[in-house]
Amino acid sequence: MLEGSILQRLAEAHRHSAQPLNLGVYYKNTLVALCHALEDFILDSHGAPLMITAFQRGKWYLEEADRYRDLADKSEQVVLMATPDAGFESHPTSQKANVALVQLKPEDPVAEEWHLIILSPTYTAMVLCQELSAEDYGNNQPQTDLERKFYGFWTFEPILVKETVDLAIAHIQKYDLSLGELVTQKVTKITAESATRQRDDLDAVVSQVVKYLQDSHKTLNTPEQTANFQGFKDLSENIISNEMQAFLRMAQLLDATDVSNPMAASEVASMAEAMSQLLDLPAWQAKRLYLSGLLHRVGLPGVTKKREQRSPIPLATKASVLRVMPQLEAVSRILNHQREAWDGSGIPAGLAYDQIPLESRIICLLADFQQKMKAYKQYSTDKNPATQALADCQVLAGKRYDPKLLDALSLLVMGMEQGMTLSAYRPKIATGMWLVDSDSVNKSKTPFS
Amino acid sequence: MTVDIIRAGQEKHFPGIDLEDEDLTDCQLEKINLAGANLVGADFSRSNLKGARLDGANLMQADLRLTDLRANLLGANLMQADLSNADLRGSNLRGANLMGSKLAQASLSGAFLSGANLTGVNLKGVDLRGTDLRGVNLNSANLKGANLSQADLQGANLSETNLEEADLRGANLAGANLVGANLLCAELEGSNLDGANMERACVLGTAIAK
Repeated sequence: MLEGSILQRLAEAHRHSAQPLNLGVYYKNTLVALCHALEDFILDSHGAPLMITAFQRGKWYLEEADRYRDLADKSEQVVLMATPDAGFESHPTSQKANVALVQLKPEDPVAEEWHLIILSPTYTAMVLCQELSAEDYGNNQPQTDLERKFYGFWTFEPILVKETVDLAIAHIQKYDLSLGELVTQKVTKITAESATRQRDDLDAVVSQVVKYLQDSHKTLNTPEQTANFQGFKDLSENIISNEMQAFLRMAQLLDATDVSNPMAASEVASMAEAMSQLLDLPAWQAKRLYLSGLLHRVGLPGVTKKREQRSPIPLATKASVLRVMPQLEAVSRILNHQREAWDGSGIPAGLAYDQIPLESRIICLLADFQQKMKAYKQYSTDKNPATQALADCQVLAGKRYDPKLLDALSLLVMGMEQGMTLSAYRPKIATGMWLVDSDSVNKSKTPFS
Repeated sequence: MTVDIIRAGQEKHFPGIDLEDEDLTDCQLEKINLAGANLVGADFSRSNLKGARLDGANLMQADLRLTDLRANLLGANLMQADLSNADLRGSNLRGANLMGSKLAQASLSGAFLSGANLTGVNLKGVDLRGTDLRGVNLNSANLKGANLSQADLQGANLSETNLEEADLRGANLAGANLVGANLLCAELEGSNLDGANMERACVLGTAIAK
């Protein structure tokens, strides 16, 4: 990693923290699609952001300058960092009052970076990357622009974005003290405002990211783009992996905002995995169940029973955000039925007994069990939280839960009491790929058991 | 005919049998004993071989797609076999030869692979959490994005192996040969690298905890 670059300084700060950065590898097309999606969401966002970007070269900015004019109109402040190329300063976008330029020295490590940092009262996102050096490419020097590889990460996490903004300000101050002060003021203003504002709909950002990646994937399939390009399959997988990551990052953010239960996704996924062993499910189903566990809070059906009853006309169920990705069709269906009840009194479809997909029944039970266990752990110390949570669930066997599954859950609880530990590793987000089954599109056509 | 008897599934004892190129698709062969059998080019696709004895069997070029192979494959020859989507969870593959085999979307979690030969095999994105891989030969294999957390890779040959974005958290890599390995953005937090040789390895963006 380039010494003195913003990515390196952020990674250094997180080296031994509980929140390591989870870096990944990206192709240029993936990054362009990601950045465009995150930037264009500014136009739909309800807040006016501070946007800080670093381009490897001023000419890359010029390619984007017209788009940036519209973004600047919606923004509180825009800061562009790049080594100057012809036209860098003279473009009309550069002349706008809320657009500031930082002309990086060619030897500045930040000039080798690709940044997009967005901080608004209602929306935070960022991309932080560096290109592999000629030495790093080794024997695989890129022949075309498509083959260029970057490493770094992207995120929606407000804390990380805020930290990076501070690092960027420190860097800006080396060039322009007064601009640094101006940006600091803007950050103070935005942070104060964010406490009172509701965040933008995360579903909307995530579906935008996935759609932009899919579009980028489609244009890849044209012959002129792919001719003579060996790494096509890698790039194609990189794009799909990032679509997947968008959902995993969304799940991560949902967990992070739930202070009382921040490990819900990985714990439900681990228990789901243990359950599939107890029930001897085939490997492909076990994998699908694990992924459903990780995404169970993302794919919740949109309507609650109470709201349904209050409404004189039946409410249309909000389509799950997961539907935008065809590879997740099966998972989306599983999660859409995770609030069904064994006796047919659940939502959204009122399915009963074996009509409810098996995986949905499992997630329903495990999500509730995990939530209860967490609550008991926090508020009652005299009894074993797992046993208490299990007893609560057993009361509802045959009503809310499939009775057969409670037998399996009691075995699981027994195992946990005898020292069986569930792997609580959060999955490495940068590699969503091992979770996506390339055949899942076909598999989703097979009926649920 | 023997094949019909096997298909019927009553008789289970066939060690050392010759079933070269035979069609055994969609069969219930649970707990069958095919130890040391000649199964070269045989087609077992979609069959259930759970709990079977296949130790020392020759399964070269066999078709094992979607096969339930949660079986004993100790020292088996699986060269150029097609194991796409096969279920190998918890299988005993110690000392097995898997060179040139296809393992796309195969499930290998909890399998025992110590001393197995996986030279040049494509294991992109494979789930090998907690797997016993001591002394395994993964030279030039593709393990991009694989999940190897908590795996035991003591003394493994990982030279020139592609481990880009692989999850190696808590893995034991003591004495492993990682010469020329690609560890770009791999996660090595909490792993044991005592005596591992990382000469010429690419460790850009790699999270290594000391």
